[in-house]
Amino acid sequence: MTQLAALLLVYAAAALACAAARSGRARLPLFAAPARARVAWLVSLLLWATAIALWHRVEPGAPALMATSVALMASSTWVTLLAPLYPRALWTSGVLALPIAALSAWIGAAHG
Amino acid sequence: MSWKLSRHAFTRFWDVHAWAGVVTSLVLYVMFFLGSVVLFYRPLTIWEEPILQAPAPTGHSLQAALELAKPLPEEFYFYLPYEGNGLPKIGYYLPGTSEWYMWWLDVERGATVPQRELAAAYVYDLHYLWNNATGFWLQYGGGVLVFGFLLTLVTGVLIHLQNLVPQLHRFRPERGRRTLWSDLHKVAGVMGLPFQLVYALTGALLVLSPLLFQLSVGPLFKGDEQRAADTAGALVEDPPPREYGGQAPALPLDVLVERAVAAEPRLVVESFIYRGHGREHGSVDVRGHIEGATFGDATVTLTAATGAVELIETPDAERSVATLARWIHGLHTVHYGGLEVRLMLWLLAVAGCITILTGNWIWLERRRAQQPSRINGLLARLTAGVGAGAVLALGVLFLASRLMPLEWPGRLAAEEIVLASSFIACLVHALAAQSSAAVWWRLLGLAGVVFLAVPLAATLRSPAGLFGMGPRLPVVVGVDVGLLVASALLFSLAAGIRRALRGPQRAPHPAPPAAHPLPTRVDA
Repeated sequence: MTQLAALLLVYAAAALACAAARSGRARLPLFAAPARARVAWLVSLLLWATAIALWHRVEPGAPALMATSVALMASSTWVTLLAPLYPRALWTSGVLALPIAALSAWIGAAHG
Repeated sequence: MSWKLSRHAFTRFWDVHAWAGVVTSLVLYVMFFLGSVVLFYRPLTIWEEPILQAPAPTGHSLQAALELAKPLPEEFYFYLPYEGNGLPKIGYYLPGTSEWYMWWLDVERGATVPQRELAAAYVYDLHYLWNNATGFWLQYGGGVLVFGFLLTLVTGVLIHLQNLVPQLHRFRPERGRRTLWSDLHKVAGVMGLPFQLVYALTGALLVLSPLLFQLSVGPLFKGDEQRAADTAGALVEDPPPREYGGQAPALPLDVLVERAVAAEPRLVVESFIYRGHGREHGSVDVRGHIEGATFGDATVTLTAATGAVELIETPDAERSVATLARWIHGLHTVHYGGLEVRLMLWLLAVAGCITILTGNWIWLERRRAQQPSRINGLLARLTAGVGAGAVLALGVLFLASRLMPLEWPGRLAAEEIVLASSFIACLVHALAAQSSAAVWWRLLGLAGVVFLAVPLAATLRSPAGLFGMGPRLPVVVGVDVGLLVASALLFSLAAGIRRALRGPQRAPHPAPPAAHPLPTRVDA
């Protein structure tokens, strides 16, 4: 469950970065202002860092960084390809990923 | 500092990228596609062999299992049950041949069961182009092609260097076909670049390591193959033959395991390699892993007759070449992360397949506006035949493996024939077809039907799957679900392609000038 939580966080990070990309095709109007876009990027980075920290609890050292990097590459690729086709589904799932990640992390911590 | 390339350099790099890509594309696609399946090698082996779905027998000595396999050759491999399921098994090359055989050792029934299922193993071997019939030359050829792929990656990065970041998120499916292929190629290629680099480098080294070892023996070790093998350690699968002395019985395996674990208490034992069995200087490698260590493969080598420890190789006590081998192997075969990471890597491998195929389609679109060429027509058909044919042949292999009785002695050869003949049939169909696009939807649609049928046919061989009547095993159910998801994806793809072919044609993007065209920004 902890690993699932980390993956969901990485997915949310990729969706947020895609929404805030300066010239992205699927940019959200919410992030049109440069200041808001910068905040979104910062939050996206924090989500990835949190995912590494979460994974680190299951698998220490280099594997935690490798696993979350692989997840970031895969999520970013598919988010970028699917965002112009199904934008609402992508952003909704990106937002939904956050509470589900928190729930998964809590279950993971409670049951080891 | 400006990243902008000169016009001359841009054109040269673009040419090298396009030619190296198109020359290596089809073989590399097969390696990438099968690699994406091999990510799930362990679940597939459990799914296909009911022996691995039962709990391992307990309370028997390891030596008792070995006794079942007598008479033993001088060199053999012995594997323990994996994660508490299945039977121990023994494997070796039949003396004087390159034929590898394995037997399950059923200690409770006092019987051996010959290996009867190799579908996953065929896919695994074909991933790096190994086959008994072709030997090493095809594997080495694959290794060389991977270097061609590395060249494609490097030149691809060079031509995109000045606008690498925009390529990460520029995907415009609403524009013409050429822009669609170009954007797909760049998003999948640039996003997956670290993945593709790591896999190309580690894959090339794994595939070419026997050749590189042979080449290094003369200049680096003055022809002393044994010293070279001792230095290379785990990098060399088959060390050179050596003199093992006179007859001397080996200590019981359980005693040897005790000695190995006493020498390295953290070792979790998984398998053994005997060399010079029954001889005075014969050895046994007790192999396993160190829990918690990154890529923690470990080996304790003992003299089989005395139990004396010859060598301990663990992550914290090994030569630098062993560390290199461990990391190369660990990275390529995903010794980290578990199922979740494998699913992510599968997505990246599929993106890699898309990068390779779209590269060919960009090549074809650029030339479509120029004069028609038989070579390009052939490339379009081969891309369709190999691209969709590999998927269909894989499905047919799995279906055949579930339909043939496990007790039928001819099933191993039949599986290989079914795989090869279905792939060749797809190629023939593609070469004879009028439209390569139609080949895609036909073969992918048929593959969808075949993948849908596999979990149903699997009930003939095991009750542990999704549709089975017996107690279900999560890993077997997981493979069945994966096959159904693959089937749904294939149907969607086939339907999408068919719809696109029947729908109104969009105006294609303007083609480049006919005579010696420079690559455009859309292409690059």
